[in-house]
Amino acid sequence: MTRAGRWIVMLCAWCLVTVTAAFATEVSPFNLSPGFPTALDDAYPVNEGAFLVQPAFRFDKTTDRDYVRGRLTADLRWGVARGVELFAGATAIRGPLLPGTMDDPRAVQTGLLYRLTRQDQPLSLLPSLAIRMTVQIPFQGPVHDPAFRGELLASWDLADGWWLHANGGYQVVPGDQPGLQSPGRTSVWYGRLGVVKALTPDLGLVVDATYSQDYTRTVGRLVTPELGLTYGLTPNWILMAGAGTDFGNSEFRANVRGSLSASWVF
Amino acid sequence: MGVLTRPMQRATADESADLRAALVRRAWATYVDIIRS
Repeated sequence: MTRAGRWIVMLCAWCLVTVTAAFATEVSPFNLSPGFPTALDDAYPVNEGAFLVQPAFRFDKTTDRDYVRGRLTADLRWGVARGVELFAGATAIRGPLLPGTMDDPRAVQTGLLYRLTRQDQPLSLLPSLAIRMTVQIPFQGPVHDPAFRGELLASWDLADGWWLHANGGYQVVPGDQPGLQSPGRTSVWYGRLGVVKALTPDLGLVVDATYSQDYTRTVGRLVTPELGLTYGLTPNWILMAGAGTDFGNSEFRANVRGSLSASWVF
Repeated sequence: MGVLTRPMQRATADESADLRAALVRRAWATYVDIIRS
């Protein structure tokens, strides 16, 4: 067996052991992932050894169209080690490409979340910090160069079932890929602030707002408030729903955007 | 027959609720562990 073959066998064995150990692992419905149920993200990776499958139906209705555009996406997340999460996602079924979005529906999104620091105790000033690095690799369309996104995530446990999350991000894209941002807009920065409230031990409310450069055109800004619910149906199933709207001058802004999604843990 | 069945059904429902409460507590503890460690 070649050296590369041995590495592949060892990697497969490690995956098998980790996934087997993760059987019946429980993931909290309050542990957020971007897009589940809203764009708000937190600095908490998924449990070490947990493997999540996250299907989602996403929709938006922009001001230039009189119909609702839908997409079916699927994401995988793996708590590969303590404080490290690997993820990959893609769009399975999509409607029209335009107006463009932050996620390229003709690309695979993959990357990692790395936990930097942790909050010592609830209400302490220093938050849990993490970085999320995402690369979008197109598999269709005229562009084959990847797009990159870097995010700094901060999370505070405020006690009594409240958590505060702040996200700051920057995305650079090669341009000329219809469906990924607006033509001519090759970079976008954004900031996001939101809270999670545990209404009951298995039901969470998510409220957040994003302030960003307008990725649907080359100028302007967008403000996007969102509302979401997350419910731990069983130890293996989490159901989520989110909705929001864009405020701005763009004719391509979303009057309504939302998602229905689930996390299946094994 | 009915006298026997009804308490058994109630016990099953109670056990199910207890099990769910235990699972929810465990998920909460796991989340706290993620946040703190």
